[in-house]
Amino acid sequence: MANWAQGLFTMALVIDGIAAVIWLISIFSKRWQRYALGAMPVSFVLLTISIIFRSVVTGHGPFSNMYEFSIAFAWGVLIIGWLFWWRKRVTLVAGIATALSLGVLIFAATLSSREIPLVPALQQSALLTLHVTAAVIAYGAFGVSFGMAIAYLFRQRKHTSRWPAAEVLDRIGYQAVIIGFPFLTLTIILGAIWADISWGRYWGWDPKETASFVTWLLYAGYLHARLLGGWRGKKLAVLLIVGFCAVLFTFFGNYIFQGLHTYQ
Amino acid sequence: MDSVEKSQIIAPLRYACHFFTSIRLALVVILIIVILSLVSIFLIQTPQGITYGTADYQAWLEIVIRPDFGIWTDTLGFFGLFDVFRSPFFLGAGILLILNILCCSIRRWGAVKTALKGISISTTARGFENAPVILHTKSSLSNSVLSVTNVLLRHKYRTRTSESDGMVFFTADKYAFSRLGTIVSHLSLILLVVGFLLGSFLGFQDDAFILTKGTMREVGHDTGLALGLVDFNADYWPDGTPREYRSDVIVYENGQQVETAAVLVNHPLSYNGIRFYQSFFGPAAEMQVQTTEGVEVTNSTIALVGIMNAEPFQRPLGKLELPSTGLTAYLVAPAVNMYDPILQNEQLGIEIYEDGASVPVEWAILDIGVPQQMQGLEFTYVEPSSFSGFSIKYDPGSWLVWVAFGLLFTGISMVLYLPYRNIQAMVEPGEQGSSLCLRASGRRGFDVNAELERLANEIVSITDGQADIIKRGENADG
Repeated sequence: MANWAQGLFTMALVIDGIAAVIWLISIFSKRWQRYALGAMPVSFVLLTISIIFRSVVTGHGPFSNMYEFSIAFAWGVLIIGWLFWWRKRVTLVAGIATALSLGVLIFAATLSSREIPLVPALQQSALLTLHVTAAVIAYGAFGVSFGMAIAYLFRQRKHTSRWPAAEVLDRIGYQAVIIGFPFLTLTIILGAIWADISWGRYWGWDPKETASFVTWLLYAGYLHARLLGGWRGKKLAVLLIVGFCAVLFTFFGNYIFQGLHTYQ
Repeated sequence: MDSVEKSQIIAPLRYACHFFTSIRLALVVILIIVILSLVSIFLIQTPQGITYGTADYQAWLEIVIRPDFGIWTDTLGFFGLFDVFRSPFFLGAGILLILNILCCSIRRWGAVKTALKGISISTTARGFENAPVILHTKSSLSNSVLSVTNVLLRHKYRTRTSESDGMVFFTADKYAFSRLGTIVSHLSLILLVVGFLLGSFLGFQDDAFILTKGTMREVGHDTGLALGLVDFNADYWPDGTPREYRSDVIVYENGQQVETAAVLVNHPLSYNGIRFYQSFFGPAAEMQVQTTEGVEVTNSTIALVGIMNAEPFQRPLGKLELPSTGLTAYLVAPAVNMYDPILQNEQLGIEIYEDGASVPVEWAILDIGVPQQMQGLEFTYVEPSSFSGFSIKYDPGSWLVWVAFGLLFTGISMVLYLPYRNIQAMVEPGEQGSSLCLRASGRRGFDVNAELERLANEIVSITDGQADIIKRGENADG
């Protein structure tokens, strides 16, 4: 079953790559969009089955090392992107989500897929699953908001009828943050609960905790700036890009700094 | 007090109120906290026990920081960048943010109360001329009013009407309770800080409470408690990493045994609000020391909690007290996770020091069970063992922290997932029936245009298609 999981992951990566290429072509020819829209759910289903198989093999959710979390992150981006396409019928969202998830899957493919036994602190499967699931959904939503911010800035510079209005992109970016921010809050809270049970303190300014706190502050700042500060347009888009940089910094943090989250 | 004196008092107060409730202040302070937090990730921070502003902090800067940072040490050290979270700048930013939150919450309370009670109905047509949605219908005024009322009620709006000059005005709102979410989520941050401070000032934490098998130690901090280690076991995965480790312990209170339990990672022991966490473990050595006449000097298990660093070898190190001998011994175990060219498995290095000396007077390698005479004493390495490391914590503020976390999540979810909606409508007699205008007011965290369009379409559908939407403009949304 481990080989099946790896095989399905590879297939998901390939199909995601094909979908991303088709999306690129569809910028110039809309009729190709339906093929990309067809490929995206196939990639998502393959990734989901791969995750399930991996969970059966390892006995826990696919969240215990960077390889597993990267796959989960890509899954989160795909599901949020698909959700927004389904609700808003804005195909650009699906395209951006496909491209982002492809980037994360490529990164995952560079990592070792070897199962690493869980250290004692990670043997708390309920909290492990909840904490990292919340993070996956939050990161996926922020990934979509990042994509929308980039698209917004591009749309402001280039007036093209092929893309939705800038206001639509701005709105979707905001709605993605509405999904992501409470889930990021939940991630931090569940992390604090788990840290208290496992390490004896709910907060210790561990580098990963601090990076998550910075991310939370940035998105809190975005919401305040938008809802109360009268910020509009480009400033908000830049803030979304900075926020996602913080997300990536937190995600890759285990390679940058030491701390209790590195489990080395 | 005359009006000039009053204005001299009121003006600064007004300025202070405006300053502390400013969203710009909040964004600036958030930015400062973000920058300082990032600094803490990239710059080395003081170890536990060394706090900004103390003599230990200065000594640590001289020994650890100055070799790398040179002339920058004093400046960076003064700004507390090596102990960011206890620096006055971080604490000051935190206090400013808390004040900002408190003042904003107080200021906003009036608007929240008004929303909960229901905003008063505007009975003037002014403002409706720019309404984003205008419908003309062949229905009579009363039928149009009925249609609007039914649609709003169907969408669970709290609806109130008022008549004036032959026109009917509506104020409809939904999820008014979610306005409380802002107050709840903001005040939860204050509760978080209070909970944290309670724990910091009234609680205690000991992160290196070490026991060897068969030993007992006082917890201290006036608890009257002691913890004894009965047994310790560790299991390993095939690759050598720990799978599980557990300590079987006894808790004593004022000398009486009150509890026995197994303590594992993720399974702490709680007793009277004090929690015992299985934190770490390591090697120990059971040693027997006696004089050459056979008088026992010590018979104990020594935890090898230190590290003797001789690159690339890191060897566990422990101190063996030799009371009434004028000597101290240091025990050194083989290097961890690598081949040790000096000490083989089941050997122990020993260095004997005269009290106060920094150079050993004698050293040797001990084999298990083989006594060795050194400095007039006989040392026997009985067997290897393990020590168990606990973290013991008492935090009277933690319950408040959990409540605050719950309120924070609840408040944020209320505000974002159930955004307050306030719709206003005006129905007036028209040329062939009646006209209807729809608009939204106040701060909007929802898709206003989509909502107005949905309501308008439903009104059109229940008037049996006898209404036409003649204007659908953009309502600036949040």
